[in-house]
Amino acid sequence: MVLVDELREAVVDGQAKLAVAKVSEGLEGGIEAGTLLREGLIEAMAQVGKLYEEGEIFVPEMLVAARAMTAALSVLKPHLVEEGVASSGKVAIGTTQGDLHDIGKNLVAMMLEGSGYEIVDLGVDVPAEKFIQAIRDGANVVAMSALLTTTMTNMQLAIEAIKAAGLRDQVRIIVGGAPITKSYADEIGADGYAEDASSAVRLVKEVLAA
Amino acid sequence: MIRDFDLRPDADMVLRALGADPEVVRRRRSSALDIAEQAVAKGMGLLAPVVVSASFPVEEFRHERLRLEHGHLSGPLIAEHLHTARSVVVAMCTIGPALEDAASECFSEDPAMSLALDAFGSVAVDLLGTAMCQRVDEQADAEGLRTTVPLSPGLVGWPVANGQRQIFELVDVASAGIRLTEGYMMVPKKSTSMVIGIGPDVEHAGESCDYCSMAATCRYREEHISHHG
Repeated sequence: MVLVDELREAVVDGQAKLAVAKVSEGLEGGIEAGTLLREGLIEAMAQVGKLYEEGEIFVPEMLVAARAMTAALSVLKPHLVEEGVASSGKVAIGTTQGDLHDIGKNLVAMMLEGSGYEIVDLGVDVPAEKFIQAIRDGANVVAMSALLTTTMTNMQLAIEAIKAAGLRDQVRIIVGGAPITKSYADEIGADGYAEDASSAVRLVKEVLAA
Repeated sequence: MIRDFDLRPDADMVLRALGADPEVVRRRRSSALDIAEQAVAKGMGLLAPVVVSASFPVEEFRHERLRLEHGHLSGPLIAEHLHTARSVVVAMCTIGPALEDAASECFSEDPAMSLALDAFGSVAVDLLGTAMCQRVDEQADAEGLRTTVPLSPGLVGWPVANGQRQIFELVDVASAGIRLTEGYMMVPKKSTSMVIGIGPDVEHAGESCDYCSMAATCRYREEHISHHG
């Protein structure tokens, strides 16, 4: 479908207005919202992630693409609801208790949303109870971020609290942030570690498929 | 409290802080360059650099603990670098909250600009630290003394919690609008704290980056403009 190809290209190139126009044109032309989402937006963001990981584009360009995707998605959303298109999963994301950094967390949330996931943004300085409530409200994945060595330990406390609440089997937990490593993620009992926003998208897909 | 700093972060510095190679970005005529340039233009007016510093004579060094006039510094890193210091300069540097507020506010509408402003802030506070270190070096040099590398809480051998507690006990920074959260995070976020040892026999060994727990994986290390030298 030429229009879907053009939509994908508009998102990859970061042309928000064009992406919105292509979504509107597609809907008016009778293309299903689900098709525009999967073959247009999600596929475009997958391409963007790949280009980033291959060093072909840098973070600012990735974000410009994400902005185009978000703009197009906002037009598409009501139609997705009408069609009953389910999200790929529900991700509750937040910066761990005691930590006020939000940029990295926001970036991951944006990339995940562009990849078809429903995002519950819990914000910064998130206590374990909020993650627990989000799981009770249907989150399949909890994504925790920390930028400080003093606050990353609260990730472990949150995971233990989730276990104590009897919810550990219902959720996949992923972690990230500057001081976090794969071995630390393993040590605290997380299901995965992502070093950047692009790999976080791949990781969520992997942990949900596991 | 010192405010007369002339910070000049440029677009290339912002791009490097974003993990991008300025040469590649320019060659491709990437939109990232426009974003970095706009962040510089917008960010310059939001900088409010302030350094609060104080100098403390060393009263005693014993068992990895440096006793100062109004407090102490302790830990393996402190012992390694400051055991021969005659005095210690403690400095807290911040560019103020306006820039990070602007970065957070514009995320939903323009995430690329938000991230570029955040990177601009990181560069600016790093330049501020560098400028402060130069002043301390010049002063020490004029007195025929030497300085150590700047040491910041969080480097290997000086845990964040211990270091920040010790520094905040020594210097009153409330008037500069700096505070410490329960998680030992400085607010405004674009702030840094450090100590520099001064004396005739101190050694300026290596770079601060050598003592960072993220030295092995830090992707900014090579390109990084910093006061770490």
